[in-house]
Amino acid sequence: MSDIFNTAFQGLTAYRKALSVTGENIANVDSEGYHRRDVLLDPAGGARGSVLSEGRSDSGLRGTDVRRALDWLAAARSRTAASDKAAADVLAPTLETLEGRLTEGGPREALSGMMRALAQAAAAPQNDGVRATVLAAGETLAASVADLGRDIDRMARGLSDRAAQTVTGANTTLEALARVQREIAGAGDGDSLAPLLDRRDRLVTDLAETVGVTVEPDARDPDLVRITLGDKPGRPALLDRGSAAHLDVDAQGTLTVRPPAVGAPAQTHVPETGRLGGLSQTLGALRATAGTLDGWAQKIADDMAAVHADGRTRAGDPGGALFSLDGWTVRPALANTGSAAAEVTAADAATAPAGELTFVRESGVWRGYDASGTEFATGADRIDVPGLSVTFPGEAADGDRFTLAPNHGAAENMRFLPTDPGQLAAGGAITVSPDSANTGGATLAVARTGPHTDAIDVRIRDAATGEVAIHDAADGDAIATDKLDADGRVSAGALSLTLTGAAATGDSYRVVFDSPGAADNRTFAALADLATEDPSSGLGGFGARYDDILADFGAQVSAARTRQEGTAAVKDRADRAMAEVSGVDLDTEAARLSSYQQAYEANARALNVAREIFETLLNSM
Amino acid sequence: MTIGNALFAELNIQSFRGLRGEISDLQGRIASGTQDPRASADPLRFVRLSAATEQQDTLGRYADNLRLAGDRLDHADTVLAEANQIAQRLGEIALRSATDSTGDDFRSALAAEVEQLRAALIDVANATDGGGESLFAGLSGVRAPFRESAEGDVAYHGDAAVQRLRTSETRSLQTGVSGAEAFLGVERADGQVGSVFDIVDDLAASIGAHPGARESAFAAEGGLRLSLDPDAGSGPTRLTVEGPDGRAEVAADVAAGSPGALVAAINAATAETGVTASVAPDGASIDLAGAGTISVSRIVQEGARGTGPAAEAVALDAGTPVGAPEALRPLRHDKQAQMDAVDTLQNHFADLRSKVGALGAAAESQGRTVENRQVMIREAVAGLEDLDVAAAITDLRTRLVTLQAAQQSFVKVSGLSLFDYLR
Repeated sequence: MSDIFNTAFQGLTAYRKALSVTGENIANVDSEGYHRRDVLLDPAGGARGSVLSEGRSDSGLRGTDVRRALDWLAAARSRTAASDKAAADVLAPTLETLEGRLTEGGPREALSGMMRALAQAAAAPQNDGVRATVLAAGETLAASVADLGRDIDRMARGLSDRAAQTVTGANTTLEALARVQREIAGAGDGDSLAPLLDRRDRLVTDLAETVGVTVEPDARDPDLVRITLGDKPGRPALLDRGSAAHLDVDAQGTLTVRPPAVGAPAQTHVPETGRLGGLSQTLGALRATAGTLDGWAQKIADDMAAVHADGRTRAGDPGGALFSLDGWTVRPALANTGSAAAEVTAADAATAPAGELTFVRESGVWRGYDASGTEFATGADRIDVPGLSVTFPGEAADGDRFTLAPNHGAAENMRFLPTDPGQLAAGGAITVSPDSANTGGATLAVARTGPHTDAIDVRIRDAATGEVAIHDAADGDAIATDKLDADGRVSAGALSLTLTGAAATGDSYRVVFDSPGAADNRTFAALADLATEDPSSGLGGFGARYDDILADFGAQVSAARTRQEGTAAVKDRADRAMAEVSGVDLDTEAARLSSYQQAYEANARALNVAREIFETLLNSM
Repeated sequence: MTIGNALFAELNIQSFRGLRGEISDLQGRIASGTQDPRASADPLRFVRLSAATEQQDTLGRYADNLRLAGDRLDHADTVLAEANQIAQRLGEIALRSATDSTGDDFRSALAAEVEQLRAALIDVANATDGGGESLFAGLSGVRAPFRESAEGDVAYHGDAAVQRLRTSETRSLQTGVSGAEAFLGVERADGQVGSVFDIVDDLAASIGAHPGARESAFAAEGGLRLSLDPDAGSGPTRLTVEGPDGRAEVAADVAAGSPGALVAAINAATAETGVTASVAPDGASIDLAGAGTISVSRIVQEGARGTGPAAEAVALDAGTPVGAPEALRPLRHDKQAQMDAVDTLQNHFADLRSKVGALGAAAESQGRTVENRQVMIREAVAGLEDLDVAAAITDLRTRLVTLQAAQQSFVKVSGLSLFDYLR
């Protein structure tokens, strides 16, 4: 009689447990990291004997085993996919943002404006208004390049900050993981184990999204895991039983891992996946782009300076540099107590003190020290030395300190140097004017091989023999007489003369040095010609080179986007595989609920029948 | 495959988010009317577009330069046409003045008109373009390159260089002619190159500035003394000597105030002329002697551009001057020489106009080429840059329908639940 009681009671208990587990599954349908629980309804080994009955071995049901639905392989794939996707999700959008910055409203338009202004100035070099447009266009170009350089630097610093915050989060996650591992180790096989394992796995997934990791069961306790960095052998451990490593990251995104084992040496690694991997890759791409931009800006400065130096200003001076990329990065000391700042207002690396410079407020004045610690200048609120001017606005306190680290050649320093239209060299250094009485059609070209400034007259004494005479234009004194060689060349002192075409005896040419006419536009025209590259000299072609930068960067962005889409698809598949094992499907749970409910009711009915039978038996006594 | 409700919802949410993002991008493109300019959107299109844009910028600069060059050349052509009209009037004056019936009064009036025309020519030579810059100053940038000195000489303060502007990948077009070429480079019939203003000055001089110097030849019986203009300076001098045995043209480099070289040249031709020469007692003049009538004529002093006589001559009787010396005009002041010179002037300006016209035509022709290239590039840029609105709208509608269908199917599927059937 007790058999039916026991069997019905055990079924009732088992299905109540199953219903409870199903309810838990339904309740956690949207809980992140929750693994579905499965109840294993084991047939009972036999109804135990009691005071009222003998033990039986072939009936009953026991619902004792509740298992987390987990597939280690699917979970590992999901974590790897999550790491890869997290990296791609950081890289692609940042590169897209930078590509938009590089493409729209940037230096490309400013460069076109500069070249257009130079072409217009070549048509009216004597017009100060037109020259002023060159100044404005040059300033716009320099400002747009500098803005872009600063934006890239800001983006890089933002990413570095983000990497630091991400590492802080990773350390918090690792500490939480260590705590949970310790709790798991002390939880035994009770009902509290599964929620702890869920929590642990959720933290592991969070960590995997932060930085790529390898997760393995602990050799001594299969409920615990051991986590190492990345997916290659020999990488440092991040979590070992109840101990966590500590992570640090530098401005370039390189990780330093201090392993959990006491006394283990710190290791540095460049993360490859996870958000930190994405940040590291993005920082690398930004640095490369900044370097390319620096090179492009330097080429503009160098090429334009080379052409401009060949020209002469109205005063007859050689054209100076048009652009400068010299500059210093100002770093205030953390211990500064005053509100003063330091601003570099003029910079010329060629003449400024070399190396890192330090400015210290001492006894009410600023003192400048060079890299060797030697004082090179003092000033109350500004310091001016050749090649460098630094102002210190704000209230300074004694002991305040600023360090200027040279970062010459950076695009963010780009400045347009001329401030007056007269500083622009529009004309050529050498002007050759054939005499109006010449009857021949030869052209004379003159080049200087050394210093020479006095105007000369070149006379063709005998066109047949190529005899030419060079006279001082001021006093008519003969300087040299010589014959042209087979190529029409002759040298005299620091001058090299080349005559091409048919000259006539008696023809003469006036050659003037460093005194261009106001309408002389040769240097402006040569600067405007830099819009396209000169294949022989390699000068110019700035626009095309910038487009090459954009095209190369676009290929990187395209690759990053493709990778993002690819990793998303892989993660989608991995999540589906994972969800198939661990996910909660309400229809399945509803079906089970219905099934368990019926079984529970049936067992309850069986218990009721057993009770009625038992009562009938009692009543019959 | 059963993936669980949470993932099902998450995947759908991601799908909706992606579709909304694409719709937003597409809507932005439709609003701007342009395709995504970034290289990553379409690398091949970007490369073609950047090349086309670069070409568009370059052609824009060429077009600007051609327009400016064309303007300056048009101005120069207009000014040279005016100069040509002046030269034509000078030719008429030269013709009238060469007529023997022209009286002194009318000759004076003609001389006055020549002076006016000379002033007009100076104005023309200092003409400016639309931007107020001198047309004929070369690269000097001088506002008034031709200035008249107190002595009445017109000097050029510009240079012989010419401004050029880039008008194609391989060509720079000159934007005019220099003042040296336009007003100092008149090539005479004898091959010598002179100034426009010297020709005008010669004409003025020949018309009436020196009425006594109307003859270019002097003849005397037995001997004459020839005094060359000391102001003519040093340089080659030519003259025709005629004596009882014939005539010869002699030439020598004469240093100012030192006629020895010319004396030697005349004596070298004694066999042809029967005339001998010697340096006069004053050391600066030449005494000519011969057995019969001797004459000197057609005096040419290269480099001399003054309006005064080339020389003075006086008959000698036993070495003593007889009567007052007579002024001799230089050959270039001869009537025919004047008409030839003014004719040369007209031809010079006509040639200049032809040259400027040819440059203008080249600018115009190249301008048309550049315009055609600009049209082609604009079309290429538009094809690469402009959005195919019809295709974009169709794409947008497709994506909207997809989004709506996805949303409705999600609602439908997620609305189905076995719990609805549990009692």
